[in-house]
Amino acid sequence: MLGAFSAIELASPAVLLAAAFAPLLIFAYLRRQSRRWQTVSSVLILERLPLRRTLRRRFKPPLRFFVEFAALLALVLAAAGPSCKRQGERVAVLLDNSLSMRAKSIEGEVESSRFEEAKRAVKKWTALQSGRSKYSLFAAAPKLRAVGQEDLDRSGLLAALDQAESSITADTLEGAVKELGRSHIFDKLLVVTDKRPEWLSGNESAASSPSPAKQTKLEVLTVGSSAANIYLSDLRFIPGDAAGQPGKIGAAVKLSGPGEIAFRAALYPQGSGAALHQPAASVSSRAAGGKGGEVFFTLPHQAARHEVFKVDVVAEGAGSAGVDALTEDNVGWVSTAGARTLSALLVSPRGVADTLGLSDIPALQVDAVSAESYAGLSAAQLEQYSLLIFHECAPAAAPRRPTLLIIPPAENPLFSAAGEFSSGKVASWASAHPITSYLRLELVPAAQGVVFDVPPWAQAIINVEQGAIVAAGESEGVRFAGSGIELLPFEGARTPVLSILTLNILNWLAGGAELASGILTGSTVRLEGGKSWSVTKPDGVSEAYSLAPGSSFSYVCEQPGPYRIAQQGEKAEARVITVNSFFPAESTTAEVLPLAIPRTIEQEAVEAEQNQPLWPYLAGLVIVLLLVEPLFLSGKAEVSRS
Amino acid sequence: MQDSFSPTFFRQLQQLKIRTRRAFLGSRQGMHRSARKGHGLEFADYRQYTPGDDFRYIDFGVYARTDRLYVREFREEQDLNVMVLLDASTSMGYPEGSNKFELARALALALGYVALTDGDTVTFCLLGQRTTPRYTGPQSLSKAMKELHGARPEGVFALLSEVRAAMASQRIPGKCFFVSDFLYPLPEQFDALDYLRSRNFEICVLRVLAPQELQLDAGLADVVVDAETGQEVELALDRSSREQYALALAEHIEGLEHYCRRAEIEYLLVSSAEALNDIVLRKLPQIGVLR
Repeated sequence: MLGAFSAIELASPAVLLAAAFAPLLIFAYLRRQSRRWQTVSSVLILERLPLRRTLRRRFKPPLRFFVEFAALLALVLAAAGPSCKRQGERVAVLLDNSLSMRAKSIEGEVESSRFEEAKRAVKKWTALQSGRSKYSLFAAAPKLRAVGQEDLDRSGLLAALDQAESSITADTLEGAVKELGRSHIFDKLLVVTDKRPEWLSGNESAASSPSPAKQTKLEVLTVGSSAANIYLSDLRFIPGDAAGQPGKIGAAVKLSGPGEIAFRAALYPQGSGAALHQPAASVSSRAAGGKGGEVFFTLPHQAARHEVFKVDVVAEGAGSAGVDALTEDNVGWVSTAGARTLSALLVSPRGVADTLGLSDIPALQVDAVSAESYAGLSAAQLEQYSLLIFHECAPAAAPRRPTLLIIPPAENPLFSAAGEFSSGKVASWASAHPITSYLRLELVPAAQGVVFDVPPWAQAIINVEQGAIVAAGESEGVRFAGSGIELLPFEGARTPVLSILTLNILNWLAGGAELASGILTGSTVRLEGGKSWSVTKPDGVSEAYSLAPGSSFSYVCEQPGPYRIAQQGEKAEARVITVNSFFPAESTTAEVLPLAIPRTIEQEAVEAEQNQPLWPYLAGLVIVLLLVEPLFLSGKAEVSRS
Repeated sequence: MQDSFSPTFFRQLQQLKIRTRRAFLGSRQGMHRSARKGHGLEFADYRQYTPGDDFRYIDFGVYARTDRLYVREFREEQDLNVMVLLDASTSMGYPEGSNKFELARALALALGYVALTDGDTVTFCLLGQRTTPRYTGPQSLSKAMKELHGARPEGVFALLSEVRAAMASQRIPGKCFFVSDFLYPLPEQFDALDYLRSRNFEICVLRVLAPQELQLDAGLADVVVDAETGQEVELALDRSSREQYALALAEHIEGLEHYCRRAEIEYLLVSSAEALNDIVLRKLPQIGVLR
């Protein structure tokens, strides 16, 4: 690894003056040697021998001296903070491997995906770079991760490229660019994506960068060409009513691209077994460019309560060729279970008239009451609700239901406010917590709000410099979350960051994926502790999990399709969760979306930290030398002066 | 020390006698030919009869031939005054672990025992420390052993004056065993030996050196300190210096040997690593000290 480095730099060259102690060691040895006394019967004969003359002749150090001398020099060198300066540029290659990169396009006469095109572009680009450059390959979906080892040469990078695989989730490209750019490691960042760069003016300054900070240069290689795509953007189950109206499944179909296209949507019921090949129903309709059409399938009355349906969309008719760049987004699954029973009570000063957009969340039934009305609700009435959401108010005592407090008053029984902030920036977050999954935390608007005094049973999820703005935890078996920033009204795609955060919090409070009729690939499902779970994936493979009481496990749903979760030993499924790849931004393949990034990003760390520090090796050497030093102790006892 | 003196060794010692080249006057009857003429078994000379002589000693054969009265004189056999000078200076305790003093003390006791079993009078003198009473008879050995047992090599002295002091109480000449490492300047040794000679003692020098002294120890420290004078000497030990040491030591040994030869002093150099019985039973008879 050190072969990638050239010159050695010292952080504190002045410390080398401590090497002046080396002669002291020699002197100590000389002194020790000259002070080796031995009493003899008489010096009558010995005094006739020649006396010592020169230092060189006298100084015959033992092996132990060299060990100690080496240890001293290593210690001094380590204290001087040596580091190896890297040779050549260090380049991070960030590969967009999101769902849209699977879009097929015609290149010449060969059909290939954007992902393959991206790989070829990287190969071409690296051929023009210096042979000394070192590459590290990263993938942006489902979240930023390294592919292969760091500091690869070109051949290593090409091998790592072969390992890279495209994902069926959305990317985290902008966040990944910032994260890599601010890291002190790379000189250049190459982004290979199907998005076009929209260069922001000015630098992205690191939060705590000392000046002058080093800049990471950004380059973007845009691959892929515009390709029309028909896709499923949503699937929802509409339960039947008491009047005998049968339930329906609504499928929203959109077309990315110009014109209008005819399509056929087919419904396949799926029990616990494999999907049927013959559709139970099929509907034909048309979708216009940029707009969607929704088709409905009426379910038969005998449809099982926990039945899963698969919907497949195919373009047909004249002009259908070449309008389906992505096939992964043509299929979706929906479960008739789960969403019907989830209901939330919104307690807001605004009262019953306004659910603050929460009613727009599919399968979430929201009742709104004023704070005064809430006080009058009986325990039995509260039992009807799966969730309690308090907006700008708080209950007098901690409820026995999962509860979300949004900007609560300072005095509340769950998350007391530690203060207010007017200008904040997300500083840290619990990256492994389900609440932060699929969230671009850098983009969380933390302009104002309150920071919490996080109780011992809870965890700070998102922090600004002033404190925690989102906290969550479980107390006596009930989950509670608090948001110090405004989440409402829920505006869906208009405020994607807040909407994802809101959905994540509601999902987590509800205990998993019950909140919606389906979740997205990469989402997590919570498995409660104290039970043994069997999870059957869409491909039919089952996995067993035995969880200790009090623990829980977040199961990541990586494949699209139905996940059947049952307790081991029980035939009945506890939950059926459908997982879909509905990412409108990824399915929009007809237009090249912008990627707003700066041309350079200021790095966080000082330059010295870019180099490979050598002091740990030297410190290790010192320890080893000191450990072996007793082995070199002279076997002969030194005779002290009597 | 007592381990060396096994019953077998005692029996072997009882077979030995101290040999002197000349006759000494003794204090009482003993086993050694004395300078005094009188009653004895060994014929010494004739003397003209004088009134008062014992008729039994008139040699009538001579009277018949010469018509004069002569009486036979016999050499009287008397005891031998044996003086054992044991160097108990600090130098005898070094090099540490060399058992130099222990061997010297054992030698002194063995010689003392030989003399005592022969009916001689023995005095042990720990140079620099004390002088024991005169012992006679083999039964005195236990007293002598007890006296010497507690002795430690300690003390610094001028050799001549100490020998003078030790010999001050000795009125009768005899045999003197001088056991030491003789690591003194040669003139000082010669003066001391000359003094002993002037006191008409027949001297036997037993020089005990440690193996480390006979051949310089390679692991010797760089600074050596004289155990007696405290003088420090810084050394640069290498092969040539070891050779020079050997030459210097040989010169010193030769100096004493030469003096002893010239002065008819019996001389034996032994290493402290040697076995006591080998020295006493083989080497001392070889040089004629014992028979």
